[in-house]
Amino acid sequence: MSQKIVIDPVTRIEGHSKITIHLSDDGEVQDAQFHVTQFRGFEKFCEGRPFSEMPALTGRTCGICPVSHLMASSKACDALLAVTIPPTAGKLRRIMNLAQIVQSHALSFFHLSSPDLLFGMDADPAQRNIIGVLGAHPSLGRDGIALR
Amino acid sequence: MSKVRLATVWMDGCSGCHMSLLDMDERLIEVFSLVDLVYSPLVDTKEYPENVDVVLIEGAVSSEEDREKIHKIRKRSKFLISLGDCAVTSNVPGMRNRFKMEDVEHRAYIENASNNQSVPREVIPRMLPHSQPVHEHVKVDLWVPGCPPSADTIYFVLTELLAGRTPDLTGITHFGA
Repeated sequence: MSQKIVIDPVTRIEGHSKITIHLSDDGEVQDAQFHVTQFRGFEKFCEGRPFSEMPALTGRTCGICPVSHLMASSKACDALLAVTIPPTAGKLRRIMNLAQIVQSHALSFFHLSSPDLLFGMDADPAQRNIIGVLGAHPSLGRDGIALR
Repeated sequence: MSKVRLATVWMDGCSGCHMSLLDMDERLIEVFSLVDLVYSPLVDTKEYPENVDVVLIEGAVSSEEDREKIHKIRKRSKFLISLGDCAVTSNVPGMRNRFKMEDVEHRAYIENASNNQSVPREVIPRMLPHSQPVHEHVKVDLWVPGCPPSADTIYFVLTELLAGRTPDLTGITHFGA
């Protein structure tokens, strides 16, 4: 009999989502879909607002990677004003972006994935989290928190 | 004495409030040693548990799924905190409220889409006509404004609660902080 497997919510990721896997009568995977379940409508509600609001507003697209959105928006605003930013400003933006990458990777690896890797996927969810890591591997947990 | 059962929930927000929670950095170790984190984006538990002592809600109530979830959370939690401006006022998600939902969806999924121009109607939750703050749906015990509230504010709230006091946020945080 055909079957549908739903994973809801998907954890260990930076966002809201579900996964559906459709199986055929003989148990083969026919289709798999990844669904992003959050929708706020930035595409519409940004319309008609002052452009100077955009870096701060679009930064709220994602609190984990706000810098990416802030940069994209700032570049769009630069283009609207037909200006070229000074080299120092360009370097500052680059530093911010690189720092964000370090922070986000630390979050993804230590806070979200490391419990699964250290305790195994079948371990009790009550232990399989960053608090469990701090208990069983205190220096590793502390380093992860310090890096982020 | 058993540990305080803490939950954190991410509804229609950007996760920035949860990042602010993590920005407590080393103080996380102190707070985490005093609580059992029973449900959170940081924990792989899929179902919201019973008998939660304190829950931090980030984000507004924007979809039918959010609405269903917040009622279940309220029933199963003793002290419910609206954490951050989206939970407190609906803030950024609420900016769509002056438009019709169909116009918002049309702009995103049809006009701006380069392929497969259609509004998804399966699997993803149906949106409510308006995005609303948490207290429009359930009783809220404490409001912690800020976009996001600072790590210091969140630490203050949690340590006050753990000391058995209701946090007085006068002068500590405000809308947009």
